Amino acid sequence: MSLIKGATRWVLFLAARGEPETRHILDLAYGLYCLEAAGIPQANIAIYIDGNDRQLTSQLLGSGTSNTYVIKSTNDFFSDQQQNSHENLVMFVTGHGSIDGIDALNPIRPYPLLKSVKDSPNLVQAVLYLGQCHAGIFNYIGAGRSNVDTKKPDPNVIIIGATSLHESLSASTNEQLGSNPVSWMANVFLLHLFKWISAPVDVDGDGRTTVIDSFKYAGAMANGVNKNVKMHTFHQSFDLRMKCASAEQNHKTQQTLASEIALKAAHAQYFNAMNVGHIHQESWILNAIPAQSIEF
Amino acid sequence: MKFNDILSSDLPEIDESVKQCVNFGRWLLFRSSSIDKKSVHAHLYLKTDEQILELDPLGRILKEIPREEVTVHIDEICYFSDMPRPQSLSNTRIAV
Repeated sequence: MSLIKGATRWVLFLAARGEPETRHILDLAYGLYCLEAAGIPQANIAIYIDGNDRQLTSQLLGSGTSNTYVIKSTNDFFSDQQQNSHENLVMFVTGHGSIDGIDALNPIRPYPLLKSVKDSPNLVQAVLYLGQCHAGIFNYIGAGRSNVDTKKPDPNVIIIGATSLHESLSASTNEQLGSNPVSWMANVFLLHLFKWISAPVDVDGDGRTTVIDSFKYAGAMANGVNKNVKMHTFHQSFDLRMKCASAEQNHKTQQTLASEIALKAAHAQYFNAMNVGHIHQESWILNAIPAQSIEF
Repeated sequence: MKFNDILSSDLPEIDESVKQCVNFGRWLLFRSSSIDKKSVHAHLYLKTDEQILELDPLGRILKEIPREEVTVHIDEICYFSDMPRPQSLSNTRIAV
């Protein structure tokens, strides 16, 4: 049974130590739009996002859907997994990450996340897509099934990361979410992953659309986009540097809230150009063999 | 929540770099009827990475609204129709 037609729990996950960033919520809004477009029923989609401003989060998340979803905090994910009744779990993680793990009030480290998934009752297999910076710290852990010969084997877990021990890249995009044209700084890997789910492509030509195809598509597309963005921003960066210097000078003279905000805007654009030019991103997959046979 | 295009000349007091941040999805420019308007001039709101700012009808920044004091309900998100917008990355074809 494929993931879409089978008993699968689809999880959109955004942890944050404070308020989540708008761009990360919009990553998941696009994801939700694509999951619904793929025919995944609302009842099988669960959303976990931290932060106090639930109204704003709910509005942004609803940019591409007419359905209403309950948005829980990420702590609830771990307790909900203890009550799991689905055979499959597919989880999408956006937000910040570091050497400490997924950013949260208590950062989420690789083994506690893996243990939560492994200990989920009734679960047979899980696919975790990690979009955050330094996702590679979730690589090289015991994700595969370890007790195959017992009556109750543990779930087979596949982990896919947008990037290894580096930061991950975001870039401005304009996507049509239903009838709404929405612009945000999208996580490039997750964007293409969600796009693939809404319109799967058989990359390896085996006649099936599997988890490994999603990895190859999102990874190759993200690498291509990142190269294009690097080339484009290299040319822009000289002009952005000049604007930044001009805004700095202006703020020194004026010292107003308006000049401060103008400086922040110029700064943000220039440093984004510098970041894009100096960050390497390379996607990876752990437990690739079962990924070749799990179909969407 | 609606999405609306406006002209950059409608808000002449907003700096060009700020307008670019809005159009490229880094910051949000929006109308809201739910934020308590202590200022009668409040017309629009700008959400940056960490701040929410109140703007008058010309785009002049009036003040910062303390983040913990507001629950934001957006009526309308605004972009500038006469300034560049990003292209769709999901429809990008990779050049070789």
